Amino acid sequence: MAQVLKVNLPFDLRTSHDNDLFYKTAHEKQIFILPYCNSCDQYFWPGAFICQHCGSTDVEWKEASGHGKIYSHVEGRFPFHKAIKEHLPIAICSVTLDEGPRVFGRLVNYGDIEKVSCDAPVHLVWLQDDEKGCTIMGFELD
Amino acid sequence: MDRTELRNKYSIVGVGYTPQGIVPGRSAASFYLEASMNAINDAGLKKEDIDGLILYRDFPILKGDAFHHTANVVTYSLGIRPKFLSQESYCYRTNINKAMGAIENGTCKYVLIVFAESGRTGRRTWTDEIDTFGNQPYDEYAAYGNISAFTNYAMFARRAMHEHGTGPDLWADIAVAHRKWANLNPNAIQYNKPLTKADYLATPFLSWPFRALDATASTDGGRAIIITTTERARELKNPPIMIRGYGSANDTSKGWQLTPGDPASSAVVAGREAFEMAGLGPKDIGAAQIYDCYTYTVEATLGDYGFFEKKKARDFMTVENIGPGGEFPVNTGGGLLSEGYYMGMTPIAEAVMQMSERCGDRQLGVMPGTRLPEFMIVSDNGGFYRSNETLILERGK
Ligand SMILES: [Zn+2]
Repeated sequence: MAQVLKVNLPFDLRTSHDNDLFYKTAHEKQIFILPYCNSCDQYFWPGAFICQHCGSTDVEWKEASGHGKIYSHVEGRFPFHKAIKEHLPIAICSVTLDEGPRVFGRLVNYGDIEKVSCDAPVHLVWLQDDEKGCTIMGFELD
Repeated sequence: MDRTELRNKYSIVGVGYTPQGIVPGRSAASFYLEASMNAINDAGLKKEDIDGLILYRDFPILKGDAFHHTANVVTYSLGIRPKFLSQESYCYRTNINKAMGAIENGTCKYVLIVFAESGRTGRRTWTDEIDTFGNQPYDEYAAYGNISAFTNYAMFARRAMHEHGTGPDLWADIAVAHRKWANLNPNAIQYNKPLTKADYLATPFLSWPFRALDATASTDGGRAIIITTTERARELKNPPIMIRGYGSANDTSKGWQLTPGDPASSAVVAGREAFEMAGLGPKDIGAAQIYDCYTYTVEATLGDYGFFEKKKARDFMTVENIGPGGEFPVNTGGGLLSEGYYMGMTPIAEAVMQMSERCGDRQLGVMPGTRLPEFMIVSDNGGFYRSNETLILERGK
């Protein structure tokens, strides 16, 4: 099970019908689940009523590893909104998971952003905000 | 249907500008109206001739107006009753497609396309949406700290550094080349502000690896064009600027999932369709007006169109090659980066002005060492590079 880091997030987490279960499971059980298609045996992301690969509605959420490789990453240093100012710098990444889908996350404990390389192996850590009552995906270099 | 049958069937016949840059005290609605009337006058038409009106993505145009009914504000105030009326809810680029389609199916004769905003002194930023809903952002990404288009484009560009060896050294040249063009264009916001590569490199990263100078800035003002058949265009006062080739395509990924070098990107597909319809290839094109919301977008688009191998972008994207006096002029008015942000109206309007030889000091064919191109390629893209319309324009006789 992925490690949990306590954080203060810059904004409330706004979920939707399609990702509500993902974030609820993350916050309450710290279990990492991905949408999975029983018809074509592939994971996909984000969650949806049908599989993005084959169009089947035989989809479910299935536990996944949380391991993958960085696809891309940036480090925000400018307060595009006043509420984010105290959280800067804030690094964001996209990660190609071992299961296939590319997901979005915060990059944490990374040192110098300019020395972090694309395709570096990473693993999931949960970023949990008790005050806001939510948990999001973070990734840490292996 | 063989799309080559549509080759040069449609033309752009009028362009409407407004005061632009920092123009306080005016609503976006006022710029919509002024740009529209100026395009109508430029074409030598009457406002009653406009039977199709297409607006770019809607942002609230009157202070305190949260009800996104811009199209009705514009038609009412212009006193027109178009048969075809359309406004995008988001950043999809379908305007030229809709304009030609509405004429082709017999609904319309003259379609006006317009975008305006008061983004400099009024409102219009991505983060306004967060303020609008209090501390309730509109999607999950704000909690991660991703609250600007800037971040998503920076992620796209950072991956391209890894894939194709690009980076700030090349993007600096793009920013400088655009500025040099803007310094020749009195309408440009950055007209009187020279920029050197050292200036660029001395500014801080806002979202590494992007600096402020990698992005367009919000503007006050508006811009419009009018499309009709080339046959009708020949009766009007301006030379018809004919649409020789056209393509559109959309990619379904999320903004942060953009993949540099994707062989099925919207620009690759739309570009290929446009070249095929035109019966031309990159070697036939004399200049380009490329949607340049960010520096890297210019590199990505021209690479996707096949003007160079992506790993050799450094050789092509030099100030000497794409700037004033260069072999392959790009964004000759300064582009979104240095002229002004009017969505796809910035590149399309500049292309029409160049092809109709109305560009003053920056006019290709008049500036020493330049030629008036026979064919010009124009891109409009939206939704974080996911939606693309490509035009290949030819000057009509
Ligand atoms: Zn499937």
